Amino acid sequence: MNSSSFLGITTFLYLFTMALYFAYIFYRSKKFGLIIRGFTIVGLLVHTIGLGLRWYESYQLGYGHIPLSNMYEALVSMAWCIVLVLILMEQKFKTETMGAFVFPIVSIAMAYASLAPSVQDEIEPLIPALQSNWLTYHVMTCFLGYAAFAVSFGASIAFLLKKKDAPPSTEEDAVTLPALDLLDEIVYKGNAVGFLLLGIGIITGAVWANYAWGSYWSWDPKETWSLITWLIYAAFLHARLTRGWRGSKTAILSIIGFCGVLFTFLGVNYVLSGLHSYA
Amino acid sequence: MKKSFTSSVWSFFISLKLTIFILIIISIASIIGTIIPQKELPYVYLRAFKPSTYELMRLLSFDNMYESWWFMALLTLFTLNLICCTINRFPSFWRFITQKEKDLDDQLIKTLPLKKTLRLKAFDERTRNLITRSVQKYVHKPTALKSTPESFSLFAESGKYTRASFYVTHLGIVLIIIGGLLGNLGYQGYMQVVEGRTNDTIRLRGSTQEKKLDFSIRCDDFQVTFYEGSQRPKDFTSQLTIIDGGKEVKEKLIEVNDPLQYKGVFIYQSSYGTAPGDGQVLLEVTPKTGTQQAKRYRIGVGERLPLEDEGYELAVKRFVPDFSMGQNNEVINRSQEMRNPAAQITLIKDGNPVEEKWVFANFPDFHGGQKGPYTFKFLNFAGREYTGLQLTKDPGVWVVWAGCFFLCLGCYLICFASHQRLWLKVDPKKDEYLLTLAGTSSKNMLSFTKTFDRICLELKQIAKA
Ligand code: HEM
Repeated sequence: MNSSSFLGITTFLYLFTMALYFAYIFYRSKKFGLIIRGFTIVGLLVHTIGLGLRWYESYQLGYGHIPLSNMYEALVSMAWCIVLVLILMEQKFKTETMGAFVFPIVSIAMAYASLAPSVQDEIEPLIPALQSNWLTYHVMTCFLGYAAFAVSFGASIAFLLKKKDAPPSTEEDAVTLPALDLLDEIVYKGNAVGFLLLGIGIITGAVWANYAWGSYWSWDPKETWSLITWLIYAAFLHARLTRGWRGSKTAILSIIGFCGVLFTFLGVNYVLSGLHSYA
Repeated sequence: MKKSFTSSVWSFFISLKLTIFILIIISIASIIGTIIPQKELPYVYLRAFKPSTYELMRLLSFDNMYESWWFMALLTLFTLNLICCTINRFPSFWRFITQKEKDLDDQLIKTLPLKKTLRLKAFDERTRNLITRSVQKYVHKPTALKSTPESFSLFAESGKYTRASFYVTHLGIVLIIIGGLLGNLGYQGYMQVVEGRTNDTIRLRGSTQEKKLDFSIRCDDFQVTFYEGSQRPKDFTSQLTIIDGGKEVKEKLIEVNDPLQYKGVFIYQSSYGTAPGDGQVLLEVTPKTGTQQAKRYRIGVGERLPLEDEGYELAVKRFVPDFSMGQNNEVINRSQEMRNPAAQITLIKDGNPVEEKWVFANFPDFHGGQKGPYTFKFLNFAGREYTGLQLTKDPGVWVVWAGCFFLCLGCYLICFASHQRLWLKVDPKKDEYLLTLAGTSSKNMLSFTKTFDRICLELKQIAKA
């Protein structure tokens, strides 16, 4: 079995997990919780093996680079980061239903990576400028940051849906979705973690660019858009910390921020051009 | 009453509206900058825009926005705004930091989100120590506010100075902007050094200006390796020697991602190519008449070589790696890559030129305007390789790194450190004692609530014992 078959299985596992999450919300049965956790972890394991194998295969081809060099690898690694952060957040906040709002993103990313004709899944060599350990530090911090934003985005959607639907929560309701103030806390924490990680990601990118090209900031489209995204989340933090915004208002800001993330991650590649490799 | 001039200037600089306004303008400008290509040569713009539009764009520096005076002005205004806001808030911050905490009274307790009351059967020295210790376990530095045999109160806090963390963040941002503005005092440029030669002049980025360095660079060797079975370069390296004041002062093998540093100037491996004015053209010369065989000649650019036939000589006047025609039918070289190599050759008889023409490696059968007794075929070009170096001097870069450090530290503290405060008091009531615990946290109430509950649990056990 090669990396592609592992990643293919991962896609199906994730789709199945997503279905389980929906069933969980729908049937409101506590038993689902453990099963879902099991499937999520198995999915992540298979995913990890797939990525690890792909890394190994790139060595066999004589390239030897971490799977972060083209759109396919970026999407698959992004999905991996989101699942990892989701598991950690669910563990920390003791909820089991958040995934219902996050797994659709993961499944779309995996399915798009394997099905879209414009996404090539060949292992390609790296141009010399990208052959650096900084690639790993820079991209992994950015991706983990994006992943935290994605989880917050899921929590924001959950927050708005729950706020609209449910009259002030009943006990039964608490089984299906986390309480509103917990969701609010998850939105804030995820964005705070993401803000810090994206900040570090932008900085490691700057250090690397200074080392490889001799300028730490060249206003390349991806850089510029990541800065704009970061400023949106800075606005989120100011609104919450200095103006005391809570709940729906911050949830909406968080969704706007995630649109920035999507444009930085995908839009820039398709609409604008620049230095970044999976462009 | 009319506000004084200075106070209205001040309130302009501390207004949050100004901050939001500047940030939106900077964002819009950055977005435009990612759509309009920056720092390109005029013809790139003229392909996409009308000349009058282009003139306007140049006037407003839209072709080099990030270095324009108005972008610098915006960044400066932003910095002033941030500094003034921070100064403006300082007195209330200082008052908060230096104030003495009050005893827990009825008024204070109303403002605190967490509170709990317990009954104590007895209260003595031992209980007092137990209570103090269990508070200390979770929140640092408890200080007794009042301690008499009958009543007792204490205040404990941790993370007081994390209230200052937004100063750290804002300081980081200001340093980054100052460092970026300082960077304009440096320069960025590009030079080519042919293997074995020395160069000391760079072409400045985004312009046609040149700049002479106060040292020179020699390229001793250049190597490029390719991925197996493909034309993709895997790595390229240059062995460089710095010559300053006639002496060799430093040498290093540089490669992509591993620059050389000298006198605050970073020298990066950036590209490579074949030097057009500095190689040899391999030509095949076939007489049109007779039975004579084709002969091959190797001629340097600018050189002249006698052919075997009496009286004939061949010269190579010019070589370009990427031949193209300009608007007035003049020959131009589009790039340094071997996309359409062409040589201009002259056939000379008895010292007089008889034929001059261009020959193309990619189009060997192109015989425009054949006059003389020979046909020529351009077989290939063996040039000397040159290494393309980028040179950067940025006096602000360390200020930027310091700023990044403070920014990250500050963001970390803002997001994850909180100022937690806890009050406790014990008062006699009839034949027992009433213990009141109350507290608050500047952030992250959820986790502080857990801490608070845990302290309550311990106190309950103390009360029971
Ligand atoms: C990038 C990370 C940033 C973080 C984490 C951050 C954090 C904070 C925090 C926590 C405060 C509140 C201080 C308090 O109320 O005691 C604050 C205030 C403020 N920040 Fe930032 N800041 C950041 C960036 C910026 C930026 C880019 C600006 C743009 C100018 C800015 C402008 C301000 C202003 C004007 C205030 C004062 C607001 C007021 O008077 O209510 N900050 N910041």
